[in-house]
Amino acid sequence: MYIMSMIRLINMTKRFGKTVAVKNADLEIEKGELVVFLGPSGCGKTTTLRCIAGLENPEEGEIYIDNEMVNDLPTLDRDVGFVFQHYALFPHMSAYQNISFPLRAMKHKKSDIEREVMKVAELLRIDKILQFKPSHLSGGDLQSVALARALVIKPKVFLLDEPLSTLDAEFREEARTMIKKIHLEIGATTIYVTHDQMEAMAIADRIVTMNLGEIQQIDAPEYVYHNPVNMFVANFLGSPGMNFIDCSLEENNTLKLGLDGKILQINEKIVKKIKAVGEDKAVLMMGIRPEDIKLSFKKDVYGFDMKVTIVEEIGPENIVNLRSGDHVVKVLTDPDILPKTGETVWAVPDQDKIRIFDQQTKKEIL
Amino acid sequence: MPTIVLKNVVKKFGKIVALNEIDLDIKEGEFFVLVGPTGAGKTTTLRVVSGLEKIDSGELLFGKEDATALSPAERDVAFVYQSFSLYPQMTVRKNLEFPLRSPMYRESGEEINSRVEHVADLLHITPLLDRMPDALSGGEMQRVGIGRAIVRKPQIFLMDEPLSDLDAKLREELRVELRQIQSDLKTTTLYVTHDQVEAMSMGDRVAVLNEGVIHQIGTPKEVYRKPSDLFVAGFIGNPKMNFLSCKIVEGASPALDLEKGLIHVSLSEKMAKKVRGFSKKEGLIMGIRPEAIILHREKGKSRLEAAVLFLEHFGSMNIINLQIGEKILKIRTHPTQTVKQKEKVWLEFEEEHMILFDEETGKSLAIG
Repeated sequence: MYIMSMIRLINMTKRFGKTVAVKNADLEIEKGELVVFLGPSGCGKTTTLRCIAGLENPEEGEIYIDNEMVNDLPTLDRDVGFVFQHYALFPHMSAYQNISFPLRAMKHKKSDIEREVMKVAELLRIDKILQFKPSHLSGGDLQSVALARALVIKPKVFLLDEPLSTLDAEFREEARTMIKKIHLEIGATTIYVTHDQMEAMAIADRIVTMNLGEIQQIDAPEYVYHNPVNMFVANFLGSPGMNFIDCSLEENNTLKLGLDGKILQINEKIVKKIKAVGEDKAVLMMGIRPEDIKLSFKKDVYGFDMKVTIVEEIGPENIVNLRSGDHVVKVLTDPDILPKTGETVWAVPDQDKIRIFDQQTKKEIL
Repeated sequence: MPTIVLKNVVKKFGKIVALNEIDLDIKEGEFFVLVGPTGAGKTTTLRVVSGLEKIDSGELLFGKEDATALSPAERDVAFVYQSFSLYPQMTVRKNLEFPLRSPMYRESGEEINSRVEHVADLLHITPLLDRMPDALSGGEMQRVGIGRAIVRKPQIFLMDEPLSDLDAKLREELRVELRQIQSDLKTTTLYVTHDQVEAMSMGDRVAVLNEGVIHQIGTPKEVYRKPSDLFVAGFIGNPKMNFLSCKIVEGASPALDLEKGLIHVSLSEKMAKKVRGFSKKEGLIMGIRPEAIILHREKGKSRLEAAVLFLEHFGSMNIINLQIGEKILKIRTHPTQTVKQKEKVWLEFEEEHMILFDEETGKSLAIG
């Protein structure tokens, strides 16, 4: 069976003056998928979303929604529901009036409106607060009302632009769970924009990681995390992100590290890999995730020594920050491992988890 | 570097009590964090210490000196705000020099240079010294803003959510840098945030506030492992602590009845002993952290049945969301743990990590 995609971008480019905000974006989103656009400020994620919504017009490329090219369609005719970072609710209207507004604008029957609003309100658990005006609602409730207003028109596509970023951290987690739960229940095609990788990992079917206007990688959360295509993605995903140390291949299965020429013993598998792609003479970058490093308090040839700077005790785990010259390496440990500031420890990477990148192209070599 | 002491401080805005009998004792050179939701009174506390707000009653001491009589300038504090306003017409260097050129501090040109360069070095902004603010990224601007606060070596740093306008990634980097700088300078620091991870990661000690009241003061580990009440237990930790309604079933060996008879969890002799001492046996809440719940594929004694809602992959761990009646429970597992949606699983609660609370007062009663 041929499955048609719900949203399709072909070679889309959007400029603001001389700045290229989005460059040659190619993307397909299936019906019912929840896709997250992830990246730092200025990476083009919101601009891409606004192009799909029709709030911006790209200079080049095509945008399809449900197989119809929509480049020239105004926002209202694209059948998208949009939720902004700042909820943009009408302050003089009650929650009920806000939610029902789009249906009233479309001249639906009063009884239909009431039924639809109540359905969405129950789904979002705001049916008890419908008579209140926005000034009487908490941040979490305001966000739910904004979501309800977008959901009530049953759009083909649901577009969310950093919907949780103005909420306090404590509501953010709850709201995130709610959005995921609703998505599982109603299965609307959804694009969700955020700079927070935890949020992206938590809710996405697939993550589109962006940087400097370009799509870096499109994959499922777990897959991107374990198979990042380049150093940017490897570092952006993960809390903390992947550690990098510049290195080069030496004799006897060792890497010479950029940490004052320290030598790290590695297994033959990695050496073979590097040689197979002809990078044995190149300047390389070793990547290792904070959870894939063990700390040893005595010398270990499969590790390298660094000094402990700061230990962050964040509850279920600790982040141990290590330094040597300008290099910082972060290690995730059990909460009971508490090395002292200034102490020398050996960071021992799990050999199977070491990844090697080309320092010039920033791409992983395999 | 002085200590900062607040005794019984009350601050009202009209009828609203913003600070309700606040007691704080911040040690010399300490990195002290105030954490709580919006409206907790964190920023008001900072403003009271800085002299921007007058207190209605109570005492404020710097060392042994009564600070209430001192003007903001005399208090020698440096404020770092959430969003920075750098002077747009000045280079980064000029922005950093500015506080040292004020009539109060008038320093020699040589001294100014060396201080600016030292601060630039600390904050890794040396290459930016000749740039104008509009050529800086958000993170770079915030670094310069912090630099401007620390360049004149104040007695006390007051930081009001200095990282909250930044991207998550940048926040993570800067929080370690800030902590490092503070530990190098050993300047007494009062830091405000609503982000509990930031609080845990940065604070020597943390005060958890809500609605103008301090709920608990302790090291990050203490507030995480031994929360004084339901508010602290729910606020600190991500994902949140799980809460189940609970009563103690007495008998030859006491057990916990969870969620109105959904499950009876039997207790070890050690725990049973503690529980026997409780005056209250009903109207309790059992709190347990997501990492203290073990997931089983088989039924078993004291194991609670649950249905899988969905799984969140975070790379270094997974969070599994489970439905139990009307409640969602979250458990934290190894990243290789997989489950299917709607699958039935059984949960074991690690009793040494269970905390019981009085539902009425919210107070913690016992800790496993």
